[in-house]
Amino acid sequence: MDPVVVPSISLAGSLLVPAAALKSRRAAEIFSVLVSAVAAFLSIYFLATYGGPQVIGPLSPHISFYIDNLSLFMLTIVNCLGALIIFYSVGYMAHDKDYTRYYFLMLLFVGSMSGLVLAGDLILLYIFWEMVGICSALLIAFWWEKPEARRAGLKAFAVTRIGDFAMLIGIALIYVTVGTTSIPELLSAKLPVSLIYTASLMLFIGAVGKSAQFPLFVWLPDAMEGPTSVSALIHAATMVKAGVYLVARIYPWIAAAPGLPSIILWVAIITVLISGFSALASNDIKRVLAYSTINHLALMFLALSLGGWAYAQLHLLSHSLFKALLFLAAGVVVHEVGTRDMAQMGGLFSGGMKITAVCFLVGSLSLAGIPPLPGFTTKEHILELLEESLPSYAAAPLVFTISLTSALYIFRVFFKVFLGEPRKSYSEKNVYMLASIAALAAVTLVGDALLIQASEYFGLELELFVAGLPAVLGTVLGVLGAYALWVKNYAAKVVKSLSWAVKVAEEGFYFDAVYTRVAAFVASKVSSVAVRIQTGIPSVNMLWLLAYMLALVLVALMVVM
Amino acid sequence: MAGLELLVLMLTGFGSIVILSSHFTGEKFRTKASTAILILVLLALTILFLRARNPAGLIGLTSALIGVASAVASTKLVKERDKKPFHDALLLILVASSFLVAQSNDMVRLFIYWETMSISITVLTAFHWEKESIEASLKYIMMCGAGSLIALAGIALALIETGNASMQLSGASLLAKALMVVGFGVEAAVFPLHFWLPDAHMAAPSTVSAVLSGISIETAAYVISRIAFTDPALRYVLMVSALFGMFVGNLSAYMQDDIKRLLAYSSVANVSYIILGLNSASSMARTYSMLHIFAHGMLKAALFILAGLFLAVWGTRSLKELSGKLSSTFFLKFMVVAASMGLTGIPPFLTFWSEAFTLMGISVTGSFGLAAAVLLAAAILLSFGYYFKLFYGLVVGSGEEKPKLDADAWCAVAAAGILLLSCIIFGLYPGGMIRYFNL
Repeated sequence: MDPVVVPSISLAGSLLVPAAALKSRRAAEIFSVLVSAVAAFLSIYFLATYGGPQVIGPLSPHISFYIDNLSLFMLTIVNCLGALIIFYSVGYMAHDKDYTRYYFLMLLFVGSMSGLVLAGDLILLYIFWEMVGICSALLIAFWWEKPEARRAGLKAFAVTRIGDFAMLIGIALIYVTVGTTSIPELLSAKLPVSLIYTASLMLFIGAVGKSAQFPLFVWLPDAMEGPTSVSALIHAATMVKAGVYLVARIYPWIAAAPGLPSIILWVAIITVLISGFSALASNDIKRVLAYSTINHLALMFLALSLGGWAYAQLHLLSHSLFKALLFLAAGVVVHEVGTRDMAQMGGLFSGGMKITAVCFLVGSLSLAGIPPLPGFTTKEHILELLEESLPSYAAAPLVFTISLTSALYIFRVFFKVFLGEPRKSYSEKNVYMLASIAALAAVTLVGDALLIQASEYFGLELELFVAGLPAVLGTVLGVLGAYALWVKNYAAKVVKSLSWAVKVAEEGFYFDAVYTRVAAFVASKVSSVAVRIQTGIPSVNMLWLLAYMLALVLVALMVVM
Repeated sequence: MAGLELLVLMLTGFGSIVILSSHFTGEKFRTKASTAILILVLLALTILFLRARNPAGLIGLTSALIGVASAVASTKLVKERDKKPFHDALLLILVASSFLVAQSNDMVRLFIYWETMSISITVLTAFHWEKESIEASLKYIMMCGAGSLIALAGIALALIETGNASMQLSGASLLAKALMVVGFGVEAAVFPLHFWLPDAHMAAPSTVSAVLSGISIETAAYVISRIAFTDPALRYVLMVSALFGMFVGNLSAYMQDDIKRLLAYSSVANVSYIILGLNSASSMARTYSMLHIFAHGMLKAALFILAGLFLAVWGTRSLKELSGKLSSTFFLKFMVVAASMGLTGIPPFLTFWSEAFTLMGISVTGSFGLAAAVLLAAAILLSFGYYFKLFYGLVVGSGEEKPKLDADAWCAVAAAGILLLSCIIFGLYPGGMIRYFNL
């Protein structure tokens, strides 16, 4: 038995969900949980028994799998979190009548994502890459009666496709020049630097789309229109990491392409700043978490651009844990309060949601980089890399800003949602949801142990307590600042004096607005011009025919002469 | 004349006569007898087409499959019962002539088959005999008639120059080839010669629109690409036209409220992708453009058949008026969503491979190719807007009464389903089709 069985189980399971649903809702739920649990168990087994790189196939042209420490590491994250979130969904989607479609798409996603990380050929990887994109779009638009959900689904599908097309061109260049798309063969081949540069750049653009980096980040905040369980699994813990995985997978090329790490570094820095401030200004709890995801994905790209391959993977692990936890806890909140608007929340801790509050706090501490939680360890290592790589006059303010904004935006959420006077009494009754967030909180608390295991797995000696002054200062000031602003209520004054800046940040620095304007212009003005030139009047049609014929005759004459 | 060509001609001729004679079986059996004979003849033709293991065979297979689906759906979609045998006979001739045009290696015979195809289209476009359809048919006659004359001039010139009627065109002047490309280009909906198409595809019965959009214009695109491929200047002109065509087609589709008109503009864009790929210097792009003929044909024909069904059930083709009508019917909803998403090029549909590899092939043929690939990607992205508009418009909503579908309507649904399934089945193993037809 080899690891390919893991995606096969989830993919086959997804096809059998409708059959299980014919029996009853409970049968569909039990079946989905069981399938995902078996896949998770097997992925842990394969990770634990990993004996070295292995190529499976080709089973037919372009169908091969590449098993190594990176692919098994990702496989385990995808399937373990997948199983936990599907279990959580039993509670979260308990009243949704479209449960068959939901579980079908969730298992299809988990299977496709597992296939993506095991793919040993770029063409196969691209197929799974598209499949996870489709599942994502369909799950974002899951409640498609809502116009916002429909628009968000279309936006995610279209924006990520921009990156996908660049990726296709990159694959084409490789295929035509080298004659193979087998990943292990390509990585061991000696290729011309120009090809490595162009192909890697194209693949990186694909990664930018999927991992919502500047300038293609606009789809992710809107993707929060989907169910929160979907946001946790796809738009926080797994699919958005596919871009990071791709860059990590072709890392030898990235490192060998002169100038490309700098491009990745700048994309990551711009993204980290835009997303940090946007998270700080947003009032929708899920949008804050979405911007935060963009923020942390940028940190992973930052690590990759600075040579910290293993640190990127470790941050991927710690982020997957605390972000899934934060999303699932936010899901419990939204489920109970009935809104995502933080202005309508407050006092949830004293109002009765104590378990959720504690779990959310664990996630927030890890995200903000408070020791001894895993978020601290992995973020500090990346920021230290940044300090070592850039001149100190640039690095120190940048590291300080990154730490400050992270702590500010996540504690702003925590204080606004859980502290203060409750508006009413709240309850925490859903066992599935509570058990899931409690389990994730527990794993996050002992996350450093996991990090040590993972670092050994990647051949890295991990120091758990590394801290630079700008980072520590930023984090401490961030937490204290959040307390002063949103507990001591100095926020109103500050927000008023910076209202224009808050507005700009809340609108994601107007990138989305500009894209939307351009799209609207194309859809209305340019489209109507296109329609207008086709009058359908026979005499005009004939004139076009004559003009075209004359143009071709002219071309013929030019060629002859 | 090759044996296969003769067999196809004989079967088509004999089949048409038998179908037309079903008119005398009486009002009760006329429709069913005519449809049954048409399906049988088309199935026999499919076997013959499969014997041609070349691109023409693929065009024949596509044409025949769409023809069979249209025939099955026609019992519901063609309301003129008294003229049904006439419709069926012309549909058969249209399907057969697509194959004959594609496999012809002789200019004179090509022209004869071409004219046969054009006459079938003219009459079928005006089939409903309403103001809209007669007007569309007249527009078609004017444009394609002029096109045929120009093509004939090109053929005559080539015959004089080369002394033979071979489609190899070795020794023929660029002018002769250019005249043929322009003349046949009208039928292929090359930009800016496609202006007749939206009217014709909208006004024709949906069964006919399925064939016209699904295979006829693509056959013409294949023919002009064969001619243009003998000269680099013509190839580039056609590629530039295709780049304009795909944007004009997609942008125009976005503005449409009439489903069939939207689909017709979408076909302008898709035939432009095909022309771009077939004229590219990349063999990969050419191979997968041929696959796109099949893939697009299946999905577009399925959508045209479904559009015809909506017209039959709800009496309108307007997206606004049809808003939410499919919300309560699982099969129709699923099929519209699947076909629309399939046309965006997602796995497991064959369009995924055809679009992806056409794009990949074009992108590696130099700087013009790379620019063309980027524009093709942008055009495909643009198309998402109206495909999403199409299916969201139809399926979103609730509280709509479930439509009562009779047996004939379910036949139409099944016909569209078969086309969809074909696109998925061949999408799972595209290599088989490439090898079988030596693409």
